[in-house]
Amino acid sequence: MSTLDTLQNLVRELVILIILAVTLELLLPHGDMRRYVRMVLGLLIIVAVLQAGMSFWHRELAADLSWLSLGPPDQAATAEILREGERLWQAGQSRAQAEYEQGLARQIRGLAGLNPDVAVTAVRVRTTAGTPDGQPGRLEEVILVLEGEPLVGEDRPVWAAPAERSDPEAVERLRRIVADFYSLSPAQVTVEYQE
Amino acid sequence: MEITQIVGFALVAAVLVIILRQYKPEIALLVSIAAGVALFLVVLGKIGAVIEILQDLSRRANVNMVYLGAVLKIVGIAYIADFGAQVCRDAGEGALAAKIELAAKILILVLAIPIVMAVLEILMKILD
Repeated sequence: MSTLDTLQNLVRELVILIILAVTLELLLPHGDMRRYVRMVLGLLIIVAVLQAGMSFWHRELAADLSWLSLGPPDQAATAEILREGERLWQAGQSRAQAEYEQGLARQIRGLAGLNPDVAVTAVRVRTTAGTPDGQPGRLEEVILVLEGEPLVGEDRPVWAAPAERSDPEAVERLRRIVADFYSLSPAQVTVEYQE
Repeated sequence: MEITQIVGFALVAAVLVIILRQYKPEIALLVSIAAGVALFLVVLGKIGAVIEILQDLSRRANVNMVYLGAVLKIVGIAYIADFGAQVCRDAGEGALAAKIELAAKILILVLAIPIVMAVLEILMKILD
């Protein structure tokens, strides 16, 4: 909302306030009581004008906070704010999930590196996304990429000896270690050979 | 038209009070009070629409409903006290009427305290 819109809102509020004051003035009784009621009514008008002025002043100080508004937010503005919040939450969630998966992959690769019988070249993990109520994502699947079949094409020199697959028993042992370490079922830890 | 009925009722009550005052002044006072209360009750129902408009205006002007409620209560107190004081004066009890007005003024000031505090708070914020 631009400064011009803010000023427009302020003027609109003041005009409505004047109409309210005049209407209330009509209600005042005659006689001695009138002075007292007018005094209270004047205080009310002062409060309202100062509140409107204060809102405008603070808005000028914090002009970069575009979500501030003088009046009560209408339904459209509220929905827009909620949508923006949802979008920000999803972006943050995706980033957190990606970093979580990278960290887990590094951990598993380090764990697999302790076993010299199996040469793990890469680790891929798959996690579930967290929920808006604060539940974190869960580890769903671990894919261990092992050295095995010889590479073809430009990736591998033609004079290099073909790599051999790791010992199946050692691979199975590694799968179980990883599964036990992360409380997964063995079926959730799969092995792929680098083609 | 309602105003015709109201004025007619008031005129009849006034004639009745004048006649009764010559023979039974105490009954005349009671009739006067009853007529005043009846007129007050007749227009009381109509003021709801005015209050709704005032509330709508307050919402649009971002005036706190607590403050508007206090002002409406104060206006009501003023009217009732004024009505009571006039009745007492009609009965020749000027001192009692003054006491009613004093009580109403105190009540008005008590109800005005939140508004006075709000003004002070805002002024303090500005000066800080």
